[in-house]
Amino acid sequence: MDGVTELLLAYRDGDREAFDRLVPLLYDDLRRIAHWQLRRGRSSPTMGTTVLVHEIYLKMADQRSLDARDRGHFLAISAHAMRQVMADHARRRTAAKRGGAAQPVPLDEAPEIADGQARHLLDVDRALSELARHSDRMARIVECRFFAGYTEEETAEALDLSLRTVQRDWMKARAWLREALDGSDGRADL
Amino acid sequence: MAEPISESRWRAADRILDRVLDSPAERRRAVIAEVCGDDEELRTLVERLVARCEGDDTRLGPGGALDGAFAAAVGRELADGSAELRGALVGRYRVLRELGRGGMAVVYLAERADDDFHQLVALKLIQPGADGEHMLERFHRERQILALARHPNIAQLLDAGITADGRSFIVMELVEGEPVDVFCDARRLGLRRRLRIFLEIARAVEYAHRNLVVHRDIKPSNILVTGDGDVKLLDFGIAKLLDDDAAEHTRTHLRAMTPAFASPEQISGGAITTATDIYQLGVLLYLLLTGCWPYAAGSPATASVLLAIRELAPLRPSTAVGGRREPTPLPGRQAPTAGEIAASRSAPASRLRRELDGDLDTIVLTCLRKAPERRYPSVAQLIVDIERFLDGRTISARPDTIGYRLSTFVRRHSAATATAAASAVVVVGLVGFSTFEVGRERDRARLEAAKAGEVSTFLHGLFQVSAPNRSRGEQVTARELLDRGAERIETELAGQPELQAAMMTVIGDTYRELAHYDEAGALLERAVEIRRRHPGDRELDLAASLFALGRVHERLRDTEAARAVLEEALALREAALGPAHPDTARVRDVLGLVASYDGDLETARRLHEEAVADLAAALGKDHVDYGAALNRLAGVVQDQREFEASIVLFDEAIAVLERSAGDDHPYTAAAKFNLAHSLRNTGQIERADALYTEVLPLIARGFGPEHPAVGMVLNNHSNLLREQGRLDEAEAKLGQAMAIWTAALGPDHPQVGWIFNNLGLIATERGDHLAARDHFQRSVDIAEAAYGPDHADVATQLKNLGGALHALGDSEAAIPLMERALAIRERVYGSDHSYVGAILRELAVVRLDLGDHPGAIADLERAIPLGRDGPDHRHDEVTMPTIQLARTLAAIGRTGEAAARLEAERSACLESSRPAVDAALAVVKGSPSHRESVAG
Repeated sequence: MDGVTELLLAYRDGDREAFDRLVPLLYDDLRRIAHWQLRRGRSSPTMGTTVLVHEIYLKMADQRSLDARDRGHFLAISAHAMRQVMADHARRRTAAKRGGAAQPVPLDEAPEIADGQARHLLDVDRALSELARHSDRMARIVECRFFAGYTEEETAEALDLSLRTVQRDWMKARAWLREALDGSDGRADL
Repeated sequence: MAEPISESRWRAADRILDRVLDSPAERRRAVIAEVCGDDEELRTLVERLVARCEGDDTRLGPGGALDGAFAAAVGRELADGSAELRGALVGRYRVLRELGRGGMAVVYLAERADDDFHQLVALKLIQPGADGEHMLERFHRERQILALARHPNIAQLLDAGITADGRSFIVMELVEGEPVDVFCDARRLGLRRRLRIFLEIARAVEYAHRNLVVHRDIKPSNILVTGDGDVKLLDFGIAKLLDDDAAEHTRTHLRAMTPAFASPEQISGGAITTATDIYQLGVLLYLLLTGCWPYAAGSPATASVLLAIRELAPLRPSTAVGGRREPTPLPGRQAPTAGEIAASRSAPASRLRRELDGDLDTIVLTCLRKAPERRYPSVAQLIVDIERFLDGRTISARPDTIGYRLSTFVRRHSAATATAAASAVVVVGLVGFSTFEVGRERDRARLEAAKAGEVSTFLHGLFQVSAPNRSRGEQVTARELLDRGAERIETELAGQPELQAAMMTVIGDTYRELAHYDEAGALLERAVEIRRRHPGDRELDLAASLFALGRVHERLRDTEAARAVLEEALALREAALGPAHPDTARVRDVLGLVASYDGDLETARRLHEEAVADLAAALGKDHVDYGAALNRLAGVVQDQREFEASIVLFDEAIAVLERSAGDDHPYTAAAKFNLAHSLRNTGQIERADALYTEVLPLIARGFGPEHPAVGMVLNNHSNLLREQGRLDEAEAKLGQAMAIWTAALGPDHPQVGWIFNNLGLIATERGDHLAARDHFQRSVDIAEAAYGPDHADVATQLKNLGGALHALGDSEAAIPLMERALAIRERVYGSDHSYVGAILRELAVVRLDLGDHPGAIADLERAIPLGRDGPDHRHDEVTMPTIQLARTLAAIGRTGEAAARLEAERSACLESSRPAVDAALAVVKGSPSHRESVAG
């Protein structure tokens, strides 16, 4: 966890690269703690992200004194890592189904539904990367809200924004995403 | 997805969007018109965006990524740790990513880490937590089978082994391709092309059969077609060797059944033969030809699928595609439409029906017959018929007559052929452990006559609950599964006492394996009771329930109850199976344990020796049961303090267990643990210390961290540490052992009593005799409550309690305790045993403190001849008591006798003891009475 703390402090001091190096480190922690949590039967079907993220944060805060701003950064980075976790799994799942290097793929429960969700997630991930070219802020808000399930308040804290900005941008970001996902004939979804 | 939008366009639209959103709803349209002017495209974009902002889209809701089946699947994947494996080394292979997973194993893409070619392989790793003994067996079997099968259409086995953390893996040729049905559909292959591909599959299966291997899990996901069009048969995971001994044919292997492709005999637990593969080839051919599953099952639920396979007649393939009825999908898949089926075969439905009608119907239905002996006699015959069909010649198979079908239906319903033990073994497999020999054959035999359909529905109901969607993504523990099973026996099998008793025996025995003794005892007692109430039951069934119950009593050290039920089980098995049958030997083995708890070591040794000999003769010397029995025999020899002899036996047991069960199997660990105790007692302290440290994690992993066996390791390691003076470490280990045993066995269990005893010994070492007294008192109370007042354990603890009281200066209170200890040991060991001498020596010391010289002299006179001679013992057990005796004699004026005893000992004692004797002689000769007697 040491490296994470240092990178986090570097990020606070304005080192933007630290962010990119933090994500993979956190990614592992998220996986490990998710693993641990699910083993103990603690989690809800929705992985309990905020709980996960808080656990990791508490572990870090234990070791170093991290102030409120660090917590915000941490939440933001975790949300990004969570997006990567989900997108990675979705990519593997859809790749396996396409028969990229097909070995037996299990019949699990409601496979069609899960496949559909995985594809949707990948579409959102791609659309979000596109949106980030125009507005990094909106993309980060979507990571926090959609991928990590944070509340509006947590999102505001994570990104150091006003609550109003989060609300407005979240609304607009979703409109832009739907625009990208559905194109001009997407009204049926509204 | 829409085309990416330009940066300037985006900026403009977003800015306008903000303005519009800031306006009141009724003004928005006007604002848009005003700002966009005559840029029509911009206007429609903004209008859409505003509409989207006003609308609501659940697909992009807060936390949307974390809801639903896919997120749950990710959660599960994270939970079983497979995701963590990426990049890890398994054997010589580096894991790259997951390819797929089944019930028991996960398949990864991996590469050789130690060569320059980066050869890509498929690495199949057994699921963590699923490494029961049967699983390991299965994997070893798979190794053997794959090594045997070298065929261009069978995926090649490259390597196999066990990971550092004890999981088995096999490495196979990486096959990149599509499942055969997907391959055919995607290329819209017609029936004849499909038949040719099927022939390749059938030839590979036929090759396996010639090599005495049955695949028995033939299904599309196990048959891949590569980009080059090569067919590869994968996953001999549940394949089976045909030349296994006879028992093998009836014993069903643990397996993750693929319900849709299961044959009737796999469901009913019948013999698995080449006919099973022929049936599965039939389902596969059906699917390839029609896109359908042969049966019109009521629902895709497992129970319903299994019922359909067992009970329903398959639809004729020509009927399935005829368009006159809804096509029946493979369970769990979406139903294809008749149009889709036809399109993916490049033929109109009417032509498909015509082509299938007649010979192809007959070929497929012949494969699918319920009775294995009525299918094609071999895959070769099936191949010949398909070739004949392709050549336009007459096929050999004949359609079933209506009369035949009716008669088999009646037969099936009057005497169900199914058995439940097959599924019962799956219970055990699922929860991941295995030593489940207890009456398994018996229970199955019994259930053969029972209504097996209900049992399999029952068991499958159990597993349905553990399916992820039912348990909401949470892990179901073995314990929960068992609890559910135990509950359901009462409700779902009500009115079927034989089945209830059988399932209670299975589940009760499983509880015992998991050390849930209360639950085990309650269920097994009910099973025994039911089987007694229903005479006409086969006696061996009763014996199986009794044996299982006896093992629970044995674990709980309830020796009286254990002996009662075990002796009854022994008599039943001796009568039915003969005295040397392994099942009979197993009862004797456990009876031996019970005898040793009662301190009757000679009986225990005899019983174990018989069991060891019988098991070796019946099962061979490489069998795990032989190794385990040998370990128990060695334990009794150790109890008899023949440590050197026990070391030889333990070494042999460890060798057998390492061969049969593996290095880190809990049994092997247990034998090493026992060996450590003998090493400690022969002075090989460092080896013993190292062995305890080695064994603790193995036992904790093998039995679970809360299993009593873990407490035993901690306790014995503690004793060793105490003897080395490492008292704090010793005390800490006892604390852990206490927590484990109290939780698992209850606070009044004699083993908990031993912890108090050992805490007392530590306190004594520290000179804290008050604490020691309290600890010893607790240990005595517990042992008396458990065993009654006359048990050997009570004697030892009384002696220790007496010692503590003596040290506290209360010698008068110590005397009666030690006398009681003495009486018990005289009775248990005989009055001339060295253990009796040990108490006499301590008693004499206490009597001397009280000034009771005659009493002390009498004790010592008895103790000295009981002391053992030889370098390890003579000084403490003979020479020192003799010196003590001489000084006591001298103290009451019998100096002549005292001197004579010392003179005699001086010439008999060890060289190293002589100075002590000389010193005593000097004292005795210099004492006033001696001088007087010399002067006088």
